[in-house]
Amino acid sequence: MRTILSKFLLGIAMFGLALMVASLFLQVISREFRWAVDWTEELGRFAFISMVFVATAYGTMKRSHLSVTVFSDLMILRFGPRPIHILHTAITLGFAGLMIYFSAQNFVDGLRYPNISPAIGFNQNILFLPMCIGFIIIFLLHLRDLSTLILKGSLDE
Amino acid sequence: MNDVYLILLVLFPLLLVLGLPIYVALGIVGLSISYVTDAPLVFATQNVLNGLDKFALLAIPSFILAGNIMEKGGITGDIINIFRHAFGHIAGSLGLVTIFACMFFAAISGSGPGTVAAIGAIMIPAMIKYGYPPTYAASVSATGGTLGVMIPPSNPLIIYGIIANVSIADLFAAGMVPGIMTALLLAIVAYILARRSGAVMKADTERSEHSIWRLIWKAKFALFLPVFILGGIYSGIFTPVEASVCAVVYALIVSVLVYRQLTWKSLTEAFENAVKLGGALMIIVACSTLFATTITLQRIPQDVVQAFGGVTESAIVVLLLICALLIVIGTFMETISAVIILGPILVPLVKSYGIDPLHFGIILIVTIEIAFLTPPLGVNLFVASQIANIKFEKVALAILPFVFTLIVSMLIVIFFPSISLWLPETIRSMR
Repeated sequence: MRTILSKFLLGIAMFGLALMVASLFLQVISREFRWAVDWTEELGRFAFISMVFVATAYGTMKRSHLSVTVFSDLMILRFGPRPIHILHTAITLGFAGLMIYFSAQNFVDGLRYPNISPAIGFNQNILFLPMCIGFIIIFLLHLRDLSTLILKGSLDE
Repeated sequence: MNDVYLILLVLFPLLLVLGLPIYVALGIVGLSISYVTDAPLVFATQNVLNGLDKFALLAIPSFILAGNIMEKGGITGDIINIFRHAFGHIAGSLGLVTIFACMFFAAISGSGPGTVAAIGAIMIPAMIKYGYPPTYAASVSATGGTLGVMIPPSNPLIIYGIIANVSIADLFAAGMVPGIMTALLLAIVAYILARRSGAVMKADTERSEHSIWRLIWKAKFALFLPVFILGGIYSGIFTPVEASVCAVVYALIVSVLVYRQLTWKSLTEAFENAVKLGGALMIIVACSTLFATTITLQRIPQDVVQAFGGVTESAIVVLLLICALLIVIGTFMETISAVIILGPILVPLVKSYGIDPLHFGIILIVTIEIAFLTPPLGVNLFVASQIANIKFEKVALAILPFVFTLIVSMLIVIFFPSISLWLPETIRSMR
């Protein structure tokens, strides 16, 4: 299940990145050939924003987020990994929960009061959806980590 | 001390020290300040989204992707061959070759550790084979990697440009002369250290039989890339963001059609690396916008400016104090994170002292180059010590002369602003 989710997230993030590169490259080409393509910048921006939230969830899965580990490594030596990891997981869980709640609220409000982009005519408030989905996955991953820590005592790599 | 300062000075460092992901620490601090100041929390997520809605940011994952494709596509070998041919016949010169190869690769990759991994993987074993001490081989490669963030295209410079509202093209131009100057200083020190190490170093016997011109011709596509990126930006053909995606397409075409080394598997790996690193950096940028908005609304930068005003009126003293602070912070915080967190506070401060934000951007980058080499974080040291298979502590000691050289370079950039400002001003006057 974890492998399938990991491949799915990576696939979507890679698609977002590829779409962003392709649309911006088309922008350069179209300008040189004087083609009337005015939607490339918006498409690139929306693909980029969506990619970041999916990539953040993927990074959580791969435990590749940037952090200052010097002091926490010392604390792990002193107190063992379990209490430190439980603390990390619980705090991140709380943060992800708040982000889900408020991004969902923005998404729902945004459907009622749309913010339409000029070129594509896309309601930009829909971008709160990938944010919300990204944080839901982060929340679920940390929930799983917390239960693993409580039941087994250590996290799998 | 009011609640906001309590959050900034107690909660924020505590969250970082606990080892939480930096984006979580920034987000929690932003939410907490919004809460204690009665700001609607629903705006917090809007700030996070707005943080990503900046066109210039699109350049960062693209440059990371371009660098990864070039590394997997086999471009590195050709660059090294040219410098080995030029200097390799002189005993003790492989350190110099490493620095110059790093300088050139930096003009393609935009990443410090990426440069160490790409060049170090070839040059560290070569130096050890020719009798150079392993600690020297590792330290010179780690040092060369620092040029990755200074010579354009540089990801920290893009971030700084967005924070300080400075033209990214101007920042790229401003980094060029200090970057080349630093590379020359490091190359001189590398050669002197090699000669003084007492080790018996043989001349490079694996130099190519071909003439240097033939090697340059063979590497023409790799050598043309920096010209293509920077030339395209300054000639107005494309913006820095468009340059980043053109670099991706160029790297793809050269790796697939010319070098024929890029497989589907390595292309997927390049994309995965770009997604992982790009995502990790961009979510920090997003959450830092929430952080920056809250501290700006609370007028924290103005308070910092006032506090510094009471200490000194000298711009040079302020710059030296900031650099000392950055070196300390940089020892335990990743470069881009440090720029993101400190930028919104430091830029108004230096502007209040009449310092050109363009000049300050380069000082910031030269200073954080030093942090790349200082333990306990020192990412370049980890990469180099792993390749050389020696203890991290040994490399950390061997690196000291190079750290001293970088400090000298930092002081030169501080005291002579024209070193960084001359090229962008010249380019602007030509437009």
